[in-house]
Amino acid sequence: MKSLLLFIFLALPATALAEDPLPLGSEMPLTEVSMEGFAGDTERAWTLSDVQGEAGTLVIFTCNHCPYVKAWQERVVAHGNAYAEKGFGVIAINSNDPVPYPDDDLEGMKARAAEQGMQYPYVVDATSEMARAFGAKKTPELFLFDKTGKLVYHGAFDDNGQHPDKVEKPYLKLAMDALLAGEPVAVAESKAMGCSIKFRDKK
Amino acid sequence: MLTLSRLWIPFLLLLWLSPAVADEPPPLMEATGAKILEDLREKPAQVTLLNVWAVWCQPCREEMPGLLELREEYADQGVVIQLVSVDFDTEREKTLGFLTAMGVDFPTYFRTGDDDEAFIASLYEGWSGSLPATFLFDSKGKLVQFWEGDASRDFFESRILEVLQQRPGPPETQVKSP
Repeated sequence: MKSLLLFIFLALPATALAEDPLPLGSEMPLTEVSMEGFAGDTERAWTLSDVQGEAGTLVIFTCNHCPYVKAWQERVVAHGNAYAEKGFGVIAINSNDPVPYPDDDLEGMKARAAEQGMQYPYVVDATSEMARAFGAKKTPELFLFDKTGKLVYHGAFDDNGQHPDKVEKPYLKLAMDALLAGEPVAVAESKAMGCSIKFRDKK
Repeated sequence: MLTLSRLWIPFLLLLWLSPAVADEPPPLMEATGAKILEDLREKPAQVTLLNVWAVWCQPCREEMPGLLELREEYADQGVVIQLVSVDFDTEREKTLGFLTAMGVDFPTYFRTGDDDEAFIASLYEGWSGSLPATFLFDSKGKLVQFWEGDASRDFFESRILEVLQQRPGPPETQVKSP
């Protein structure tokens, strides 16, 4: 019986076990969980509390190998760098298991961050628990919290990954500008294609 | 004595025994999500399994052989497996190359348009947009099971059998009503 149950468990797709996405209005989860990473030449651990900004906080689930991440990368990094200057906390989190996806190891992360000029922390979600807590399922996937720590936007950076010159809806920029202006976020959720997060097994 | 005129027999035999790899790239049918569903519902099969994949997606590539085996095995029971590539336009040749290498010799879909939200919403609002994603439709063309993330051949087969036998799937693949 035990081996049958084990078989059934192993036969399930990994992401079928992922939680539902964090509902709008939720507080940021796991704010005191420490994640190793780097920002520029600084290597250390950060918690989400460490990076919370006065204007709000942007959490970016990302990785190195995903073509959708690569398609949006320049835009996301430029935007993250710019809005960090405006009082937002910004953090990029890699929840992928690097064993089957070695491009997603720490060295790969450092190379990608340097190449892109990423100035905000890029950290390792070493157990994938952060992705599970957020209900993140893919990369890239963005969660924007207001200055009180409530989720006000979840989804894509904009509406066109393939063609930056054809973007009509710059979702994240509009949401963050709304926060700066003290206005409600008009479009609070959006969807785009992405690479499934390669969860580490639950312990 | 083996004359030239008799060589055609062993030649044909050799051709027949050669690996079953498609010579020609399989046709790619450009379509939106809405068109894909329209095609599916025009004359629904007993079970339609729609698998959304991309050539760069490692788990997508890894689960493909199992899907193709099941396609062969269950074709006579009215099970249709449709593949939908969401590769970027610039990757089309790689998409074709992979399908050819997999021995795919039937038409498959290539998603057109940049509007991810419309594509996702047309198939299922409960889909986050992650790849791979699999959608199971019953004989009325109704979406009855869905999951995102890769799956084993056994998992696919169990789900197909549930729909064939009109049994519900496990909770994690059941479609949530809007």
